[in-house]
Amino acid sequence: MKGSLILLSWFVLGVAAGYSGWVPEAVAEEEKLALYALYVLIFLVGMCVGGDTRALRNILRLKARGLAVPLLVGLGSLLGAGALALALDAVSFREGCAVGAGMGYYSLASVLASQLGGAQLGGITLLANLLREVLTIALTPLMVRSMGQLAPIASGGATTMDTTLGVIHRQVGASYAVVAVINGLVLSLLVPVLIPLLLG
Amino acid sequence: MSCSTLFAARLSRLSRSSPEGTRGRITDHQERGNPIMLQILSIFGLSIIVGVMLRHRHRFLTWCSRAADWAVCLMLFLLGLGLGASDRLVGNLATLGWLGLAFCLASVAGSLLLIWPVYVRWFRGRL
Repeated sequence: MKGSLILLSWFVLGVAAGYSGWVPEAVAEEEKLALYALYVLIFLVGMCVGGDTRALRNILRLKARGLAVPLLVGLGSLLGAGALALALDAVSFREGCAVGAGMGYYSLASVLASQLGGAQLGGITLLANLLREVLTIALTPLMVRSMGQLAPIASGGATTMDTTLGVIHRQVGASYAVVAVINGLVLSLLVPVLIPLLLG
Repeated sequence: MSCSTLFAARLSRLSRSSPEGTRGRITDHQERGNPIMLQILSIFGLSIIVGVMLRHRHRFLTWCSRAADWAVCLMLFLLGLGLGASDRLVGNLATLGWLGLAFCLASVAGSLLLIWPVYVRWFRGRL
């Protein structure tokens, strides 16, 4: 949770700096700076993924049952957000799906969405996925009682391999914690692929 | 005025101020083709290959992970800067918040809905 607050404070600091005009307008409107920073970020994330060969091997070894969980969680997230977009008409269906494709990985999802879909979509993506993490941490016990042990894993999305893993492990035990890690790993890999595909 | 009525009213106000051809939309980039997509996917694919090649350099990979954390902070700051510098976007922050909450609930509900049959069929009482 501390990590989330630190990241959120960077965003709030940015809003404050932009609103008050501390930063020269030329810098605030310079899109190239953010774009190059995004390329560097994607490259670093990819290297960390590639460097973790044990995790990659675990994914490749998965059978249908193991892969069904993250794939259905991801599909459900996309379709749920897409359906809401159709109902609200505030964003397009593809943009709605892209917000859902964040899967709780709000840091990467929001910067991708802001670069590919504009600052407002980036803001919506940040808030939706940040709230997803908070919701999972807060409601895991209730979800386990009412919808079973897989519910917090579905709710947490990509965060189930790190920030929400502790609370999930405490509530559902070690066997489901393994499912949670694999779920988070696969969904984290899908985020940088799905959002550009949906907004491209 | 109830919360949902207020939200609908704000959305309708936003619709009127939207650019032409994007009726009802509050975002501004959705209709253009995007070459950045291909660049991002290529960089991601290439970096995974580089990561695999450098998999034994643990210290370097740890440094990469830390650098990625700082890059995320920078990107979030720039995202905030872009939002804060635009009067129109700052005026819509409350609406963005409501939309964020609505999309959060919708995506969680979608995931729960699709995972329920899998839980019943393959997991309940077996792990």
